[in-house]
Amino acid sequence: MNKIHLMAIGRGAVLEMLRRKDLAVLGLFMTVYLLFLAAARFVGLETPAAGTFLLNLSLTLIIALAHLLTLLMAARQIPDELERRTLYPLMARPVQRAEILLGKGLASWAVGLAVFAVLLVPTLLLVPRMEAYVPGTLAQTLLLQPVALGMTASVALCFSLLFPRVLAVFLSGLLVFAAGMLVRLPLLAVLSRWLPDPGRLNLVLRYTDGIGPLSAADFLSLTVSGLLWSGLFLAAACRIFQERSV
Amino acid sequence: MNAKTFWPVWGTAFVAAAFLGYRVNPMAYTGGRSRDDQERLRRNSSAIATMLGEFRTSMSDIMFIKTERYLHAGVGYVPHMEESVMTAEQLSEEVDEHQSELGIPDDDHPHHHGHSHSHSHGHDHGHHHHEHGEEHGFELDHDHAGTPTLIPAAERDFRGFIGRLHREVKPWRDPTKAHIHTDGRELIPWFRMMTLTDPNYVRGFVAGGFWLQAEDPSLALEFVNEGLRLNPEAFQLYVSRGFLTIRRYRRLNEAGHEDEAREYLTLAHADFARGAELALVERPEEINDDGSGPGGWTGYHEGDAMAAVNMHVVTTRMLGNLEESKRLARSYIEFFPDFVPLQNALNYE
Repeated sequence: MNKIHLMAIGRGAVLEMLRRKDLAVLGLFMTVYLLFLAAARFVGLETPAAGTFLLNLSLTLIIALAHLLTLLMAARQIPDELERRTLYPLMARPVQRAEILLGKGLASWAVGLAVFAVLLVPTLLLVPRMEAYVPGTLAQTLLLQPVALGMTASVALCFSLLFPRVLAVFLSGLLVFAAGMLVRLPLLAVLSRWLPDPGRLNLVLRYTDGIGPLSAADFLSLTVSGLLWSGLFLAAACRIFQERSV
Repeated sequence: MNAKTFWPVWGTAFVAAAFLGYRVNPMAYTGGRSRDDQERLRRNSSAIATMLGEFRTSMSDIMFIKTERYLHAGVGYVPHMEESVMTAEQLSEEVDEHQSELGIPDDDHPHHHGHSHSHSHGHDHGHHHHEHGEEHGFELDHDHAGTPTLIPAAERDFRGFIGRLHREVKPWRDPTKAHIHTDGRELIPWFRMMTLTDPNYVRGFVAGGFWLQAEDPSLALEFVNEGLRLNPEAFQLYVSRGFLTIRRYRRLNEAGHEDEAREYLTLAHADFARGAELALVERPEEINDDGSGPGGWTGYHEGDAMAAVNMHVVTTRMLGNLEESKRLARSYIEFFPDFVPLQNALNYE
């Protein structure tokens, strides 16, 4: 795997995102979000419970947005390139298919992570913490999000090679945002162990509930599981892409 | 890696990822602010919550709002800050009374009218005077007349025409008039949603089970059993199942099926015994005057613990073991010295 190739492909994916004015939409969302936080501060948080409510809402929103952006970006990488026929000049160069896929996956992951980081700063600065929270739980929440975003990017990338774009986005969205809920339905309960669920890596509620961090073993278990799922979907995507006739 | 080795390696990693991810459930903890009903009342009464309308990230909060809306015929009222949380026993009686007042067939009580009772939203409003309204299927609650609506009344609304339009197009009722209460049938899917999103929110299973029993007692038991599978240490769920089972006992007993009834009584007794055992293990040593204690123990937990020990004593006596019930009452009095039903249990002959 050539690092320069990966960087070049990743940079191309990010530039494409900028060209599509995705950043403008993101900027708009961020402005609305900051206005909302400012309005909340202006209206006032009469009780500590209201402060916790705002903290939970803000962290949940920024995590959801980061995952949504990662998912949409990853799911369109290959189908868009195929549609525009821009994938062929890329494949004519001395790059492996796996490098193309990994570069695009990394770019999607990095964009999601950047969005998360950029929105996290005003959240932590503007939302007052009025009740007791455990900093260790926040640290675990923040450390697990890059892993969860990796899962989202790899799932979306893999599904985009298997299904039409809309279906790929829909199925990835189901896994990313609703896997935890779906597997509790009686008919799907049998899948509960076998579906990747990035939601399990979201500790926001645990943090705002004032609960302490996970034990080191549990944290490690979740991290390794998240990394494994990401690797599995990326490996499957590479395999499918290599065997696919384009 | 060639195709022959790729998929076996991939499969092994798949099993490892599934195992590692499944063995940890970060949401499996007891207590927490999102599951505390008093805390929820405080946050839902805040200005920021009002600004957001029905938008929430917590399913239990969404459920709370839906409950308020459905039971008040769609009219949004400002949450009442003085409300206290109901125990499983109070909730059981509450749902019963609410349903029978509305003329909804109940599994073990005949239809009756016009007595005082509180209404249940999964939280207590105290005991109020209710009566049937002229509207079919509604009852009127006079005691909460005066509670402000979320859409303000004309005299408090600076929006003029917009406000008038808002009151016309959205469900609204003059806040000075008695509240209209509807039945809780529409709530049942929301309890399902609530427990799907947070399977460790024990209150959702308890409250959902009681609402469901009016519709389908077997389904209610199944729902609570599901809660117990997911939360095997939650003593409130044993108490809840005990109450649901004892309803069946009463119904069968009244119908003259005494042998079958006794089987249900034995099952209820086992549930109350297990509930009491777990409650006393979980209950902290130091309890405040309001029943709360360290480690997220609330007055609601205390109430359920008391119900568990009391019903354990009562069902033991109902099964014919009077001396054993007195022995149990004496042992439980050590934990709840001021609990009158336990004192009374010692005087049974």
